[in-house]
Amino acid sequence: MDDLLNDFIAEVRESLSKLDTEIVKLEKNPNDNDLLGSIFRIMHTIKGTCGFLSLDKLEKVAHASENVLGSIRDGKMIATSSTISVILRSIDTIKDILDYIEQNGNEPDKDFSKIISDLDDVFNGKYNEEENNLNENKLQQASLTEIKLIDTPDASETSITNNKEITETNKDKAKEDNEHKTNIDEGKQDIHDKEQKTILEQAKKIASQTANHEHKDNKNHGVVQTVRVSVDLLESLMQVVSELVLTRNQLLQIMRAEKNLQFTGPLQRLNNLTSELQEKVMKTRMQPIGNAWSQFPRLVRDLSIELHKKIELKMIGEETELDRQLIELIKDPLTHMIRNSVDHGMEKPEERVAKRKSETGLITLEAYHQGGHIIIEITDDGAGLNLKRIKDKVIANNLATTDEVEAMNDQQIYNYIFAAGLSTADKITSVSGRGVGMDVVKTNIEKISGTIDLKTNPGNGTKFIIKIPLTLAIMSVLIIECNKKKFGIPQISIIEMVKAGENSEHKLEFINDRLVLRLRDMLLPIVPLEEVLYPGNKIDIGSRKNIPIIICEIGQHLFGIIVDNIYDTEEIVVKPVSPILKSIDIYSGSTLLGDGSVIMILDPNGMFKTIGENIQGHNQDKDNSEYNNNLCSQFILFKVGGKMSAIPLDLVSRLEELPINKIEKSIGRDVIQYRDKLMYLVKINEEFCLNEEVQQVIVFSHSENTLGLMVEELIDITEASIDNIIPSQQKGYIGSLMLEGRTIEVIDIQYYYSAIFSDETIEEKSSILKKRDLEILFIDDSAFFRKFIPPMLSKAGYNIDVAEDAEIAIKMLREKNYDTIITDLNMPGLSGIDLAQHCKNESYCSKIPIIALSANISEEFMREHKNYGISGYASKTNHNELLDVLNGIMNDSEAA
Amino acid sequence: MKNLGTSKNLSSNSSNEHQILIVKIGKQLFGMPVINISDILGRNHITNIPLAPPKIAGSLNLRGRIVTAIDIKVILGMEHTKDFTENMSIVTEYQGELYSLIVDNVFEVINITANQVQSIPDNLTQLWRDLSIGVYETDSNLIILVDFGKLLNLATKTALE
Repeated sequence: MDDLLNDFIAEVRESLSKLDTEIVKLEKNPNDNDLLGSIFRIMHTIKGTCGFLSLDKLEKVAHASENVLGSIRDGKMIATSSTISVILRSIDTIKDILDYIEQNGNEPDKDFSKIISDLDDVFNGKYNEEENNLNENKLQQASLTEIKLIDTPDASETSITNNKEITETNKDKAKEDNEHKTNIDEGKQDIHDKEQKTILEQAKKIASQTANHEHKDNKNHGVVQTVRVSVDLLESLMQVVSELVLTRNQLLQIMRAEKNLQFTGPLQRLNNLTSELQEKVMKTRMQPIGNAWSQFPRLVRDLSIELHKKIELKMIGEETELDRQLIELIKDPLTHMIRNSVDHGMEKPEERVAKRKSETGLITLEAYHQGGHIIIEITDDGAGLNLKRIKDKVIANNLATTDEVEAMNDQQIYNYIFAAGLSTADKITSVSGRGVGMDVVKTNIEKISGTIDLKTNPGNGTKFIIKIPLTLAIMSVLIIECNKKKFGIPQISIIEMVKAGENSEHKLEFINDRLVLRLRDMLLPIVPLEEVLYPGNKIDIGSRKNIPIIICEIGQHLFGIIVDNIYDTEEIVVKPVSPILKSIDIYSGSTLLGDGSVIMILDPNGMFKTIGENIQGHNQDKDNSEYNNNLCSQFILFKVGGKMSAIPLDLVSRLEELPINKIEKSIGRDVIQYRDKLMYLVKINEEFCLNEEVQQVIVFSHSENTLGLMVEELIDITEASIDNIIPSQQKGYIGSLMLEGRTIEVIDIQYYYSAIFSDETIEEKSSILKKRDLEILFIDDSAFFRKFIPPMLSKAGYNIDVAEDAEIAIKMLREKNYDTIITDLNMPGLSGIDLAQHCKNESYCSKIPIIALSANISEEFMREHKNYGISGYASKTNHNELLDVLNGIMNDSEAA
Repeated sequence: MKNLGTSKNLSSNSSNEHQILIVKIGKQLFGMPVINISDILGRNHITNIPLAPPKIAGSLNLRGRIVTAIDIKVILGMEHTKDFTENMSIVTEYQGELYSLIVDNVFEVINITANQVQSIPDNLTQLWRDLSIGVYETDSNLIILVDFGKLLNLATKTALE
C-alpha cells in the first residue's frame, strides 16, 4: 500500500474518533452551530479525500452522511436521536471500510447501499425509525461480522509470528466474538457456528500470509505505529538534547583532564547513551528529501508541455534524509531551479536533434550525504550557460563595467547569474525571465547556511551543486584565537586554511596599504581579525612567520581572515546573541564550549562587510610614514630583447601565456584571437625572437581596445620609487630606473597604444593646443600618476601644477588662477568629490571646470556627480581620452 | 513584566512587606527587589565581547544558559569596572533573556514596608532619581531602592534606540 493511503487512513481515523465524541455531544445540544460546523467539516474532508484517492464506496457513504449533516447544519432538519444513530452507523461503516482498506489495500466488494439509502431517507425526511430498527440491527450486525471475518486475524497478527499461535489466538478471539454476539442476538447462533468455521479457515489463510509478508504488513499499521506530535514539542526536545550533548562534552573534557577511574565507566556509558539519544531525536526531525521533490515530476511535465520541450526528470537519492525544517526551506529554491533548468537550460527537441543529442532532455536531481552535509545536484544536459549573454547582461545592468568583465575568468562571469536583477531568458514567460530567481535562490540557500555552486559546459549542460547542513540545530564551527580570546567561525563558510608569512610560499603583501594574499592564482583581500575586533590595534605582519589565515567564501567573494591561532572544530549548538548585541553584525551567535566557557560565533558575512569600512578607516588615520610608502609604486619586471624592462602594475590588466601558433599576421601587425576578440600584439624590440611554444604577453586593455605586449620572460613584481625614474626623451620610454644595481627601462605603453589605435598622436593633438597658455592644477595622491600624467600634459602644451592632496590643492587655488582642475577621485582625506563640492561653494574657484580621473566610471555615477560640478571624466591610463576631454572642455569654456 | 511591577507598587501597597537585597555598587548601597532576582553569582568567568558597547561586560555560562553580563556602573554613570574577577553579580530575567548585573558586593536580604520608604532627595542627578523609587534608612546607611524595570530597560537598550 502506498504511503499516501497510509497517511489517509491515519488521518481519517483521527478525525473519526473526534467525530464519535462530537456527534454524541451534538445529540445533547442539537443546536450547537459550532459543533455542527466542525462535524460537517470533518465529514466533508473525508469525502473529499476519498474522491481524490478514488475510494468510491467510502466516498458514497461519506457523501450521504455529509448531506444529512449539511441539512442539519443548515437548520433544515433537527438532529433527533434516530438521525444521530444513522450517522453514527455510517461512521461505523466508514471505520469498517477503512479497516478493510488497511488490510487489503482496496475497498471491500460488499454492497453498502443499505446504509446509503438510510442516510438518503433521513436526508429526504422519509426515514422511519420503528420500521427500520429491527432489520437495521440484523443487517448492521451481519455487515459487522462480515467485516470482522477479515478484521479478526488482523488484530492479532502484529504481535505473534508463529502460525499455530496465531490460529490459536484467532480461535479464542472468534469465540469471544461469538459469545459477545450471542448475548446480543441469540437467534443468530446457528449462523455463528458456520461463521466460526469460516473464520478459522480465513484465519489460517491470513496467518500464513502474514508470516510471509510480515515486513510489508508492519508498515501498514499506520495507526498503531505513528503518533502525531507537535513540532514545538520536537523542537524543545531537540533543544534539551542539544544541551545534554554539551553537558556531556563538558564532562568528557573534565574526565580527560582528571583521569579519575571511578567515573570513567559510567561516563563512557553516558557518552554512548547521549550520542544515541541525540541521533534518535535528530531522526524524529528527519524526513526523506523525496517529500520536497514529490511535485517535481508533475512540474516538469506541465512545463515541458507548455514550452514544447521533451524532458525527463530523473530523481536519485530521494530517501536521503534531512531535517524537516530544511526540507521546507529547500523546497522553493529547488522548484525555482527546476523551472530554470526546464525553461532556460533545455533546448527545444529540434535544436537537440540538430546538436546530435537525444530528443528528450534529461534533468537529474540527486541528493546524497557528504561529510555532514547534504549535497543536492541539479544537472541538465541542455545548452549550458551562454557566457556572452551573461556578459552583456552584466554590463547592461551595470553590475560591472566592460573592463571588469573582461578581466574576469569564465567562472566568475557565470556566477553573475546569482546576482540580483539578472535573467538570461530573453523573453519574459510565465515560467521565468522576470529577473528574480537565482539571486533569491542563493539568498534562501545562504539563509540556511548552505552554499550553491555551478558548473557549466557550453553545449552539454549545467550542473548546480547545493550544499546544506543536515540540520540547523547543531553547527560545526572552527575554534580560533584572537588576542588571547577564543571565537568560532562556521565551518561551512570556510574554504581552506593557509599559513603565510616570511618564508612561506604564500605571501602577504600590501597594495595601497591594504593587505592581500597571493594564493595560487588568486589575489585575496585579507582582514586581520584583531583589527576588526579591536579597532585601533594594529598587527605587525612583517616579522611574523606562519601566520594562520582562514579563507572564507561569501557568495562569489573569497577573503582571508588573519587569526592568532587555530584550534579544532567543534559541534556546537548555536544560541542567538543577546538582543543588546544584535546590532553588531560580525557575530551570528554564541555558544558554550566543552570547558563551559562562552564564545562568540563570528559571522563571515558581517566580517566581509567590515572589509570596506576597515579600509576607509585606515586611510583616515594614515600617518606620514605610511603615506611615504605611497611614493613607491609597483612595477612588473620583464625581459625584452635581453634588457630588463618595467611597466607600472597599475596599467596592466592581465598576464597571459598564449600559444605561438595562434598568432597571425594582419595588415603587417601581429594579432591573436583573444576572448572572442582580436588583440594586437606589439614587440618593443624587433630583434626579439618569439619563444618556441607559448608566448608570454602582458595584456593592457582599455574600453574596447586590447593590446598585448610580447615579452621574453616575466620576472617579478617589484616596488620602486617613482622619484628615481630618470626621464627619457626617446619615444616609447618613460625613462630609466635604478633598481638593485641594475638599470631598468620603463616602457611607455601609451606610446604603443596610440600607435595602434589612434591615428592622431599626442604630438598632433598638442600642435593645436600649443598656442594656448592654459594653467592646469593636477591632483593625485599616487606618486606614480603625478609623475606619469603631468609630463604628458606639458608635452601637449599645458602648464601644470601638481598637488598631492585636495587640501594642498585648495591652498594653491586660493593663490593662483587655474583654467582647469584635473583630480583623482579616490584620495585619502578629501576626495575628488569633496574637492569639487568645495570648489562649487567657493567664489574664487566655482567657475573652474573639473575633470575627474578614475578607472571605472558608470553612466549612473557620472549623472550623479554632474551636480557636484564635475565637467568630465577620463581614464587615468588613457592619455588620448584625457586630452580629448580637456580639449572639449576648453572649447566649451571658450565658446561660453 | 508582572513581577517587575511589584517594586513599583511599593509605595501604594502599605500592608505588604517587601524583600530587598542590599548590594553595593561603588560606594553606594542599593536595594534590589528579591522577587526579580533568580541567582546571585560569585566570581564567574566572563567572556569579553569585542565591539560591544561599554555597558556590556561580556557573557557568562549559567548552568548551560548564556547570560549577558552588564556593568551596572556604566549605566549609573560611575567609573567602569576594570577587572570583573572579584565582583559578584545578580541574575535576572528580562524579556525572555538572562542578564547578570555586576555589583561590587552583596549583603543581606531585609524586609521593608512601604511606609518606611522615604522620597528621593531632589539634589540627586536626574538619572538616579529616575532609577529609584525611594530611600530606605538603616541605622548606619542609606539604601537607594532601585526601580528594577527601569534599570533593566536602560541596561538593555541598544545603541540604536
